[in-house]
Amino acid sequence: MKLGLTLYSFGADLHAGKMDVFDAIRKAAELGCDGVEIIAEQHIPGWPNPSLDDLTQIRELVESLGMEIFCFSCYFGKNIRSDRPQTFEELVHHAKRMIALTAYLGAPIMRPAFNANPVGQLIDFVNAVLPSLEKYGVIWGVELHAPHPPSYYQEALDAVDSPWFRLVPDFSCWQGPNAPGQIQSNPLSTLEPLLKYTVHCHAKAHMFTADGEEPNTPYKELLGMLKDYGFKGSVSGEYEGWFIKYAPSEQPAKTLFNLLEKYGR
Amino acid sequence: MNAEPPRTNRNQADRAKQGIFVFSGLGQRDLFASNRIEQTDAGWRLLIRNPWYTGTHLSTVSSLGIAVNGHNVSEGHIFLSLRGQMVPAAYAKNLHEIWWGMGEVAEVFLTDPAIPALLKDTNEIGVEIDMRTTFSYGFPDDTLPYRLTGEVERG
Repeated sequence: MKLGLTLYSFGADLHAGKMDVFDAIRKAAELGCDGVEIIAEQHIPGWPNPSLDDLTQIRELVESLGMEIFCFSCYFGKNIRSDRPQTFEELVHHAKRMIALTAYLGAPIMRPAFNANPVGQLIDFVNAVLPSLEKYGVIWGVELHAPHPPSYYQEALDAVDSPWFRLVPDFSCWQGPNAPGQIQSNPLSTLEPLLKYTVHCHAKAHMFTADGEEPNTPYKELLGMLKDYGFKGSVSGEYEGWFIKYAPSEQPAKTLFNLLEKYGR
Repeated sequence: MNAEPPRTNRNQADRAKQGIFVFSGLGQRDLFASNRIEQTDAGWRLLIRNPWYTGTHLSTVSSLGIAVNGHNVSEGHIFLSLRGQMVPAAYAKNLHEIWWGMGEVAEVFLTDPAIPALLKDTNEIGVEIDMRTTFSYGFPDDTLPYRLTGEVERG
């Protein structure tokens, strides 16, 4: 499997204006990442109307450092306007634009954050953009994140039944009860039936012990399951401890990537 | 492998409360991009960063309130400027086309004529932003109520 970091992990310095997307990409390369994940609303200059030149610079910088863009993440919000929710047609228009941008960046996977509640809403949405996903060669990776149960997207995966609609499990679903925000942890065995749909993972981390382990997340077991399965996709380390307290981003990013290498290589 | 899933004593409401607490802490940490309040031709100027953890449409700022040393500046005297585009704070909620980037510094201009008499060498500033989330994080009314403070010097 390919190992890297989402640039989200550098959030402390990005949020404080101490780092930009180009700095973060270079840091990830210095740490030895195979690739990175980029989040539209956090990292792309000029969002939501980026210049092709900026996108080209990002793509070329990643390539020049011997990495790839594992995944392009974005948000499909319904509450953008204060006077009314987004219409279905607006959501579809936005999704098609994100699919094209994902392809332009050379990323194989787009991870939209979208409230699929009830999950059936997602089925019509994905089906409406399936031709665009196929045309551009982009996989819609739906993110499975706590507090949703591991089986949450099974109905949608079955209904869409397409290689262009796959799963991005976030390790939060298997974090222990002391993880920030955790409501219900899940047995590790619940990952097994999801592996055949999994194209990319978010390796969530909030904190580390002195010996570089994430105390609430069973990294050894989760990465071991991916290895045993022969997973050929990508894993992005996602350090989220920067919400809680500031620390220069490089150190937790390095600790997290070392943890991925320890159990994922 | 775990046979029994570990349980917590949290529910979704607790998770939302914890989220508001954590996101507010992040917003507070990086809020002021300058420790000064300065007089300009457009009013008294403060520099604040987008408190949210990503960029956001300006329309998600449902309301923006500023207090100077305990004095609430009326909404009509608060203006927000992003990349040189100044808008009355009360109009922000209508402007989904304007983007407030992650960590991007906005200029806040205050035109309240009472301010000069209120200012001291060091001043307590209150910043209240009701920010709508574009999808649900479980917060009541899908709104994150930032109640932030800071000290700035008169420039």
